[in-house]
Amino acid sequence: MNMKSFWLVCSLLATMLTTAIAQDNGDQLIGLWEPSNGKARVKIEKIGSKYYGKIVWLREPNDPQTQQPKVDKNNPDESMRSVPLKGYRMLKDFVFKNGEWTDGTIYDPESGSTYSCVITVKDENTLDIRGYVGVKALGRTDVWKRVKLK
Amino acid sequence: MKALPFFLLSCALFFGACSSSEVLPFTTEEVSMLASGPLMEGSNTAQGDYQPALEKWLQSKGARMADVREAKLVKASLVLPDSMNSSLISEITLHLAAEKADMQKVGVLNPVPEGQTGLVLQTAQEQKKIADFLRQPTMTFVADINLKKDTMPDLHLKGIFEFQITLNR
Repeated sequence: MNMKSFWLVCSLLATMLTTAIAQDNGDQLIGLWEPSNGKARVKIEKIGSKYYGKIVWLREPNDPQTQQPKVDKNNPDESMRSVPLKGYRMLKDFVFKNGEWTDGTIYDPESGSTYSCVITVKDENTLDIRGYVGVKALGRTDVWKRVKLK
Repeated sequence: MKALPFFLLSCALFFGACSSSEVLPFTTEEVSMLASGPLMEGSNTAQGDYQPALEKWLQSKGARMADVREAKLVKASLVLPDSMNSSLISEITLHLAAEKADMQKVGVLNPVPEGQTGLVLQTAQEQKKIADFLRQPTMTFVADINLKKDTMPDLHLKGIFEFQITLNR
């Protein structure tokens, strides 16, 4: 192997390693998380190359008025109001780039509104979830904690 | 001046006739969907990739990708394995996902009728940019399946999905 081939191989290996590390860092989002209000737990998973989160636990699973499992009664689309909140995908389409998860949305079932959202890691067990409309600076940040299963 | 309304009406009719459309059904082949076990009580994710090959299908209809005005999912059927019937499932929600399109909820079945292996979901009235999914080389059908109790290690489903594609002609 001449020097030119050697450097080519080194460069290819470095690129593969960087890609693998970036992918691993992105996957640290995967797991079970709890918003600061403690009302729900959200499981974040990867589908294709993007990250999605769904509600898997509710502190109050039943609607106090109907005593039935809570559904997405505030959804703007009437045909989707029978979708149960348990299992609801409230985080969608997050792409990992430059150390944060962007381009995604967060849905607030209490208002039926969807916001742009960016997620950053404070430490391996803490996330900053920032929802906003239009400009990131005009949003609100919630702190989510990782739920460790015993 | 009296001729002006007639002229405008004629123009509207002419351009209306020019922008006529054709609606065609586009049905997927059987899509295999897998929820990897262990499956726990509550929400589990089943997913299956599908290559729509829309361009080839359009060519067979004498159309091009640019002719696609819109698309809508009109029927979503899921078949459970023989070893399992629907009594174990409380609800199912169906989504479409793809790398260059935002995930969209397109169907729901709540409650799931008991004792059946074939299920037909209610499709969403409001669907946006569904054609964007069909234009991708690969799209993913994602079913959130709410189980009543822990069950078998893996769950294999089969899905058949029918879209309506509106073409500009």
